[in-house]
Amino acid sequence: MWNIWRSELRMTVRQRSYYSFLVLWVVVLSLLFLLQASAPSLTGYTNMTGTVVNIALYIIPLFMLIIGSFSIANEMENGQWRLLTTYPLFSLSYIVGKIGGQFTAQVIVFTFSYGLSLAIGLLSGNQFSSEWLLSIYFFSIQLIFFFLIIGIAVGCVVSTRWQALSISVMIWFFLIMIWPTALIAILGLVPYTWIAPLMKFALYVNPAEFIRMSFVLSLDAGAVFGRTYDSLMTFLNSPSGVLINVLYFIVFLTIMFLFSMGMLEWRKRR
Amino acid sequence: MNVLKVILATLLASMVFSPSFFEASSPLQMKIDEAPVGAIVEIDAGEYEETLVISKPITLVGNGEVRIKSCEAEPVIAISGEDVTLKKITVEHCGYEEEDTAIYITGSNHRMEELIIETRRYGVKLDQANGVTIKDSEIIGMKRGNGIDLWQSNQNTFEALRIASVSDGIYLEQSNENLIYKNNLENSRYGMHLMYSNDNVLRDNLSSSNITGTMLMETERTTVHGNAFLANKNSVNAQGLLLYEAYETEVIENEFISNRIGVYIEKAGNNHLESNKIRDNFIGVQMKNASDNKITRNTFVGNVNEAQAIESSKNEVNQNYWDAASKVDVDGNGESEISYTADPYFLTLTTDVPEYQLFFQAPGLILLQNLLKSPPEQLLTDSAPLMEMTMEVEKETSSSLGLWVMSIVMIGASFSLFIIGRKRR
Amino acid sequence: MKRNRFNLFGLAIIILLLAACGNDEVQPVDINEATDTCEVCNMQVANDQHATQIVLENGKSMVFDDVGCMYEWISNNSDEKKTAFVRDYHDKEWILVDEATFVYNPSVKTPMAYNMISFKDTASAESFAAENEGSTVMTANELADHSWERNQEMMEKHKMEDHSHSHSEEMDENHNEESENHSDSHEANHDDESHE
Repeated sequence: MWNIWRSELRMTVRQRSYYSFLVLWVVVLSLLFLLQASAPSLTGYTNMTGTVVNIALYIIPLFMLIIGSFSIANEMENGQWRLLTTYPLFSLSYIVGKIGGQFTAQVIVFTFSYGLSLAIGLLSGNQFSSEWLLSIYFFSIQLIFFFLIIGIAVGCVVSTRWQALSISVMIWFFLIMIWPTALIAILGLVPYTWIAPLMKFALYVNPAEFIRMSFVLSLDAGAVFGRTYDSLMTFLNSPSGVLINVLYFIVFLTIMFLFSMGMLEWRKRR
Repeated sequence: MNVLKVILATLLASMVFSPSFFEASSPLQMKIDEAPVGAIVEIDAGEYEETLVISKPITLVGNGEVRIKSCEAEPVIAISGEDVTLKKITVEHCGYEEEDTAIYITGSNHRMEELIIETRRYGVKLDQANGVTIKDSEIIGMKRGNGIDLWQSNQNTFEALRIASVSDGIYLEQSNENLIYKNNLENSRYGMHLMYSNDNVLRDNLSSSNITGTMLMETERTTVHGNAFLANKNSVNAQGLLLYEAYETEVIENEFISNRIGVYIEKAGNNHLESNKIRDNFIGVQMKNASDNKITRNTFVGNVNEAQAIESSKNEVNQNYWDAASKVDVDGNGESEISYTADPYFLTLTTDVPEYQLFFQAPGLILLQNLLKSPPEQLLTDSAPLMEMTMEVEKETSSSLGLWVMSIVMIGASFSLFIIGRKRR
Repeated sequence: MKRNRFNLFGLAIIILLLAACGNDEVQPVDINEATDTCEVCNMQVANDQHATQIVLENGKSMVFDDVGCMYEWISNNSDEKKTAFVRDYHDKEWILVDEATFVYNPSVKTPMAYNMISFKDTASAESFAAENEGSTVMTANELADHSWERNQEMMEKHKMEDHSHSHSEEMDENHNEESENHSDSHEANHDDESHE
């Protein structure tokens, strides 16, 4: 497992596309930090925070899905995976190694860009609140983590990079862009009393929504979601709410691992 | 029936006279009874467990730490008549009955100064009291019962009070021409709550961390000037100011900061909002079925969602500054040629099905909102948004040293990890 | 694994279905003082005898802080299919509007000053009316024609004082109702005496 982890990390940081990500993050984050100059307040849930969160939600999941799925689809395509299957290698350690390596590499490049953009923002005379910066940072890291895992799972299903790309974009489009539209359309068909429980269920199904909700809640703005979610928000804000977050993390991870492993085992047998 | 009436009368009589009758030995009431009209009665420091009835013009002054306490059904201090003055006294009501009240006031021209009132239900009740002044005092409750409760009481003044943890900080019902000035209302249900009350003036108050900063219902000609409404956001129904069936209200030069909704206007008309600062709220202004209101020269900045409105197109909205608006000034008159509109889609959606409020500012919903353009005649429209803010918006500042450290730590840590990742074989 | 997840989802749906079919009769939901606001006037709804509730055909429940607010909603949405509940003045039990008896008394304070309270049985309504002068006992049917004047006596006094706002129409109505009130309360008194 550690070997895969290390080689994945080494391979990723040596790719040229890795540096293009560096440029991308620096440009996007610097622009956002320069934009912050026009906002009067540095903390809390304001339109500035909303903008940053939405841009992060647009960009990060898409790239992470593509990176995650490519890292496996690539090895499928060039036959490296066939080679690996001849070793007595357990699928789980392959997947964990892949995720670990990719995640480390992506966190490194994101952290680097974040620090660099912050320096650029500070040089241009802007002011920030460290609390705000850290909450945005951890919000992004969470997004990176969850969508990399989904990306890896996609990689385990597809056989070519083209497939990986199209499925990644489809998932991104569904979970980020048309998620509300789709839910509103579907929930319009069910009895009214089902809407609240199904919405809560859907909240856990879509990690992007769950992370966004947790983030808004951490900014003390849970009230904005209204009466239906008041007890949920109060609960998630309490100490046992942290437990739910951890549990969600574990359950999500387990399901994704099992799914990816199952797919790989199935392919091995073929 | 007659027998009943007699019994009732005797009961009533005994209730009215009992304090003076049974507690004739009680030091304070005796002092009050003996004092001539216009006298100044000084109370020595200490704790007194009794209820007082004052019905003639005298002044009661605490000399040092004076605490008057009672857990009985009657108010701790009941005031009637004219020109009663209370000064430097702590009044505590420790009863848990629904209507328990620390100070009950009727009559006219009384003055309450430098009091501290602790109550589990009501703080001060004004029942058909006029020309009463309460100032420099503190009322602390237990979120059950109002701080100051007015019923048919006119021309009273409330100044420099701190009211916390009550139901409604100052509640007015059928009470007119009162002045509420420089008070601090916090951690309560509603800061100020006016119902069926006209011509009242709310000036320079601070209402923070309440469910609703100020609620005006069925009122006419209220003046709301120079108040600050802060952080009324912790309830799912929170807002800075609610105008419901309120008419001819003047809302001028107030600050609405970090509320769930800055100003919410429903079924209200002929109100005038001018030169207010509406900043960092989740929703700046929300309107439902409101018409003929004039909203002009306000500054909207930093709100997550600046305006939502349904069935509110017949309002005069212009020359506000909206920081989310795209602004182009061709002729150089300081007004943008592109009008700014508030989209009703999200509010319409959530009014029908409140569960969809979870999609507040979700990236997908913004997309959907942009796709489904509502017909222009349904929109709340600012025809000439301002290019510049109408007032100074102060910027928060923070030390940048810590941020430099953070930036360098981030760069350093990731860079060393990067080197390690590249090297390792 | 895929099949497993579908099973879970199916199970959830079945549970929901069972929950939905279990109670044919419409049940009122409890008031949550922290989050419930009146559908009409936006006030927080206290969990007391004045709270009322409408459950729509689709199961959506709306609460009101005063029976007057509920009737304002009903008159604005008369084509909706609904079940309306009020609470007993004494023990706060939820009762169907049609089975309740109402007492109107201008000196009874209610959250939105509609001055109307509800009782689960006619006897307790009548005894309340007998004890409190100026009360009118009404059935749900009579309620439909009620004018829903708020604090009428007080407002009227007010209007007479400042002269600027007297609406002759309203005043007439008030006078009529007042005379009704008087006759009713007299009757109630008579009843009371005859019982004694």
